[in-house]
Amino acid sequence: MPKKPSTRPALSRLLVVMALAIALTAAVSAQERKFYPDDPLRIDRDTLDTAEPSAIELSDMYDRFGHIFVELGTAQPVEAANVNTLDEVPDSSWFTNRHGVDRMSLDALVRGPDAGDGPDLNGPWAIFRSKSQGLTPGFEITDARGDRYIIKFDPIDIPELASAAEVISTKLFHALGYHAPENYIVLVDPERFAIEPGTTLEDEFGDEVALTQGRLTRLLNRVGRTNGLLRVTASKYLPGLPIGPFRYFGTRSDDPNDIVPHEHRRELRGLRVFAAWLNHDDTRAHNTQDAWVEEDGGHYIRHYMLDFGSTLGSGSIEAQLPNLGYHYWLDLSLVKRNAGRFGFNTPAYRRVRFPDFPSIGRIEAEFYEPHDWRNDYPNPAFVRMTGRDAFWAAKIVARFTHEEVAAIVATGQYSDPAAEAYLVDTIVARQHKTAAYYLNLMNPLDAFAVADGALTFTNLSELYGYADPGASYEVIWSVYGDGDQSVTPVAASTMHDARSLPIPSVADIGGERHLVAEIRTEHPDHPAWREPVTVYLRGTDDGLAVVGLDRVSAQLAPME
Amino acid sequence: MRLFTPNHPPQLGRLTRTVALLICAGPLGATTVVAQTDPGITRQAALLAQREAKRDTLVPERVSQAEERVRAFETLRLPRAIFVKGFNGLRPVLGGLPGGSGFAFGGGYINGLNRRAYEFTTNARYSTLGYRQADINLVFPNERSTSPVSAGLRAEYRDFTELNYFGLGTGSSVDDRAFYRIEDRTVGADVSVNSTIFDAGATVGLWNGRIDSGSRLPSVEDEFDPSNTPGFEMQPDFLRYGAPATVTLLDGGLPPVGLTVRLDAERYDDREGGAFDFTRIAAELRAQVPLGLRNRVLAFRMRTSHATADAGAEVPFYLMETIGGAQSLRGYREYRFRDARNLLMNLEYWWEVWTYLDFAVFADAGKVFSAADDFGFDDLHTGYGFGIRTHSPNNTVFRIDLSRSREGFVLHIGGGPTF
Repeated sequence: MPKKPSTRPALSRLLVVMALAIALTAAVSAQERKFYPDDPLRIDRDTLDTAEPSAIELSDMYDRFGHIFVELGTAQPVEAANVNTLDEVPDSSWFTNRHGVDRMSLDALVRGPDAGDGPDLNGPWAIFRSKSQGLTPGFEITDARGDRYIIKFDPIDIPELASAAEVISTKLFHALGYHAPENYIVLVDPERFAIEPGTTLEDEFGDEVALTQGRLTRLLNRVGRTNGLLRVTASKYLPGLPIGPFRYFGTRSDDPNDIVPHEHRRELRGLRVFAAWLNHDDTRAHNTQDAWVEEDGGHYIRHYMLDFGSTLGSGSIEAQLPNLGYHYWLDLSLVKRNAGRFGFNTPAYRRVRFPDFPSIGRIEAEFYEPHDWRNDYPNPAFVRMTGRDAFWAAKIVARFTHEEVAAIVATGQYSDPAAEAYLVDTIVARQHKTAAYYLNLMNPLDAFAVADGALTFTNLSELYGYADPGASYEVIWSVYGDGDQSVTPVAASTMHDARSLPIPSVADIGGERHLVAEIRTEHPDHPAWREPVTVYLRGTDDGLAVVGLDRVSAQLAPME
Repeated sequence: MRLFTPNHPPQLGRLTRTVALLICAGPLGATTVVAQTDPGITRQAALLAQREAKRDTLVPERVSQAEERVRAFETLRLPRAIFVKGFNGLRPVLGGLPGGSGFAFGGGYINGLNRRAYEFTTNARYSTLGYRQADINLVFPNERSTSPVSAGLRAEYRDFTELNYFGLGTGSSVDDRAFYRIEDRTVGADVSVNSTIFDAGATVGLWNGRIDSGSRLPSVEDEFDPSNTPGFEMQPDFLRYGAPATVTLLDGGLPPVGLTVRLDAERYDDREGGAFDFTRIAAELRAQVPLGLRNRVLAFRMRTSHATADAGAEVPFYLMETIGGAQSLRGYREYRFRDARNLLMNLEYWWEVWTYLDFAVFADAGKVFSAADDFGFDDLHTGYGFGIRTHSPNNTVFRIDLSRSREGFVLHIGGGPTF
């Protein structure tokens, strides 16, 4: 029900406003149309047949220092360029909407990207490649089924650290929507390892020697055992032909489907929010992989995130370094401040107290601030994240329940229940901190639908308990003509307490004529919610349907 | 071309609200919906057209030439492969000679990096001032082992051609600077028991040396009479044995804070008559205290060493400990003060500039003396300065200290910690 009418401005203002309206109409008429008949696009079919691309290898140092000292990518557009008219990310070779749209079952969340049950434990694991990372060995094997896996071990003196982080984060990032490999924790008898003829062992210095049974035994003897079994992470080879990592800026010149600069992809910008939540500081090109895959007789490039060993409290080969996550590896502005202030500029990470759970490593929620979180070094997509990008990501983050997080963490197979409980609580605490921060920055209305002659929606902040109840909603209805971008008001503004707005009676909504609701949220604690959310309704054969959504982006503090 | 949605949608906002208020459109009857009859081009078709257009202009993806070159460098795994493991164990060596020796370089060989049972190293160094040094070390097991017991066999040859000598006592004058050369050989063995807190061991070795005129003038025998250069004219061999012990009470933080106490007892037996038999006892206390958080650390060292000659014997000047130089009194030259006993104190304030870089200000004080009764905190030589340290989580890799004392400024550049 209408609550109260708004006040009227003076007549002189009316003339000014009408003149502005005419000017606005002229300006937007030169722009392209806002809606296409198939909007909102739920699937971006970026699978145009692609010839075999060339494989690339990136330099670690070049990538690191290039990103630190050079601003990579382009400045425009400011907002992400691959969102649909609902400000959402369509499914594509980069991203699949999963838990963020249709709630996954607990079984599906726990299964993650796993299509099977890991390497065959009934036959030998034939090592065909070997590489040591410090003292920690690493192998590539073929199991009895012919499947190939990368086998990694936990740091020698910190059992469970990396393997648990790898598997837990794989499932979480898969649920968030990214393409990820099948990663399994496996307890394997060391006797199961066999050596393919000609296999060499590459040590930490890059020298290669023949991998003999004696060397293998010595390597495996370093690794701790549980009931005589070795705990390993088995990462299944990705399908298709690996062609190297994707960068977080630009496009691949040999991929016809890659038409949006990566720094302007919503799912890569929003990844900053997910990475902050899960402390994935290693979000850089080296931990991605493009694969040339075959599907329905054609080929295209699919984009994967890889290597989640440096997430949560794990630093892969050691506990996460205490500064990572709180600062860039080399934060030049911080260095300047530290140098000149004689020790009285305290880096944020120095205030942090980490718990003493070796298998968890260094992760906490008390000092964590979502927007101050930093990955290893500047990421061109992350630095371009806008309020809209963050809002989209925060919506997905908020959807995980405590039970779901606990079930996923259980796949890390921690032997210490207290450690496992700590990690669950920490992930949940970081989740709420993250989601609350970004959802509350903007008008948090979402899930718009037409039902029983009304436009219904959800206030996400109230739904998740990030704001006290008591919001009210001001709505203005208009008709939008997509042919000439004209805007014609059809009703005075009204205020409502309910999240259900009666749709006014307007003739001939269809074709280019869209019904538009501009909604502002009144809440005493959140003045930013006054920025409008604009909802576009299209006439369809089945009646009105939500086809578009405009949000006003919150201003985020830039990443220095 | 924008892909999915214009980034500047019609701005309804306050403008529309105002217009709506003023125009106040009345009821328009029931909402009616017009069926879609002419869908026109679809979004998906527009995207497909963009992709087909790009497909006509594809070029192979490649990284820049600069990145290729950097990657080629990375595959060499420098400097770790070269300086730690070398080529088939052969590696270059930089530094490792005493301060004031000039730029030191050389080569070495290592075997056993990938083993646990032992590690064998041998090195040879040469400096721009003509210093030479060579060593052979066999350690059981190697440092990567977690064994609580370790042992080593070592042999070393040194030829340091122009070591500073300013005379004995804390009142020596910088203007009396002279030079001497020491050429010696040591063979020895050691064994130690190591735990997290307590390390103790035993060492034994034979020392054979020759002290001579420095390669630079004036030489010690020209500037000082024999009473001021004990041991210069008669140079016996020594049997040297000792027992070091260290208690380490440091936590596992970065940087670690806490206390370290070290005691060294060392005996030198003159093998040619006993005229230079002596015993040296040294004690050192090191403390690292965070000032609030660990980005600010106050580090302190106090060390005192006492060499006591047997009755009727003397301590040779070239076996006396000295203070002055990069790791003691930094405002003074290397080996500036020398006597049978000494007292040294260093205070440093470090602050974190980057994870791998600290700045520091420091103050040093110390003195040497001959009689035990002279131990005390009076008549100290002092200096102060500013330093820069690059470090890994646990080790100082490179250090620059600029220090000032009453004898002027001294710049120290080198590796390893001050203390």
